Amino acid sequence: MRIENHPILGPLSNKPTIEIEVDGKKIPAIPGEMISSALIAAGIRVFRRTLKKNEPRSYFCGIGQCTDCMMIVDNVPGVRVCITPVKEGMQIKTQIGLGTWEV
Amino acid sequence: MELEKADVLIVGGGIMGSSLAYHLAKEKKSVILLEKSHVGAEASGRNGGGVRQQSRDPAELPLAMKSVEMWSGLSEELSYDVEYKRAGNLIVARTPQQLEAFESRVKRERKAGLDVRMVTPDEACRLLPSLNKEDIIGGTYCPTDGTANPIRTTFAFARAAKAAGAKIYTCTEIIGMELAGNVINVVETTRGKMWGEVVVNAAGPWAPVIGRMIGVDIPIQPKRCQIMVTQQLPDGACTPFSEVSGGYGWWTQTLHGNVLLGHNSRPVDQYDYGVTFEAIAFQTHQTVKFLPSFGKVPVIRCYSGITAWTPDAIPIISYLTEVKGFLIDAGYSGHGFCLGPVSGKLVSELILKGKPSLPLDSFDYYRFHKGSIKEAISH
Repeated sequence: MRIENHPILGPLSNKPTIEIEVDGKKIPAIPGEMISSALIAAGIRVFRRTLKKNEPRSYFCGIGQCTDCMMIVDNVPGVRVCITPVKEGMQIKTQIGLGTWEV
Repeated sequence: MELEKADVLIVGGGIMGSSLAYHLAKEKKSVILLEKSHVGAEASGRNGGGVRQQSRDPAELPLAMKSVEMWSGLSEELSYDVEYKRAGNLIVARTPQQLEAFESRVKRERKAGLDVRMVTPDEACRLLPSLNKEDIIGGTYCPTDGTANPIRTTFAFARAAKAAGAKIYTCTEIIGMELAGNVINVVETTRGKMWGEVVVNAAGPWAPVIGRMIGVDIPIQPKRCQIMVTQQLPDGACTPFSEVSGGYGWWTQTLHGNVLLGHNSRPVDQYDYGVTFEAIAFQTHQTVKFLPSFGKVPVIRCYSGITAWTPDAIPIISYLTEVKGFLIDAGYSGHGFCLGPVSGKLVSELILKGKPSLPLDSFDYYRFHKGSIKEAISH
């Protein structure tokens, strides 16, 4: 889902021209947007699962404060995807608990 | 007001005071522990939790080795989980001079029976995968070193001491001490007048303040150490406890996953806990340089603590000859946490039997004062 016609920002002019990889699947992304935007646009809503109860978590505050949207980005776990811009070929993984450390 | 009496009056509710209170109370001695704020509120609750034997002064090594023996059974003994973990200790070198010094140190430590060895940059990176190999030329590793939770450990000692009958008075400050000849007649506190046959000054960086009350000069200087805490990371993000030799910093991961980015102690005026931007900038810079992958890891808080440094960076554990029953147990110079268990045991033996089971001669107060300190006391 994307907002095509924003009441203040106006119509969406940029087109997805790059690709990022989420759990092995390639999805399109607009240069400059946050990872979370590309995920929501591609219909991906579960970003991680909690450590103790394995509950799904997603985009919540959207401004980097709540730390609910942590994912494993290029092997680094705990990255807040709502404030991390996309980059061509970025590797993103759903984070289970605290994730894994492979760097 | 009545004089509250005890066999031993301990000043300072850090790990040394709490451990000593526990060991004395266990031997059925009456103990009063005075703490100006809360148990473990200062450096004992704020340090990195390193339980390290390697890279110590030769005089401290036997104590550290005995302490590590005690650490392994500590949670059980105190009936409280101190989160002790034997994950090793790695110190890496950047210059050939450092490496040369490491080689002779390892030789000496191995002779003393410590399981410690030299490691190549490749081995160092296998131990700590986040380490940037380009910046280092080797290091030393001690597998029997480790970490524990400093807050839980100090609290566990105080709790066990209390259970064994010690009185722990927090939020209690010493206002003054009255001498009658060469004995301490009264210790005046915010909780009333007290007296101990032995008075132990375990006030860490505040030990000189206590000393001055009876005209005793204690050469301890406060230094501030600043620590940054990352968000929780998966296990193995930063084990073992690692340090880059030469004051570049140290890193360790707590049981809960947070990685602590440590800063070497710097001299500070007064007892100032302020965190400084300079230290944050220095520490983040060093971390990104030596552990590049941490560049993307959020830091969630930052705090500092005050450590107590002596001129030779080893503690003062010693009676004074001029003031009867006054014992100094302070100045662990930023690396006392590991020694907490053994120090309490040895000082209790010094008090109870007059002779500790490991020699404490190197920690004598008079190594700094060749002559008498009577003059200082007389005014």
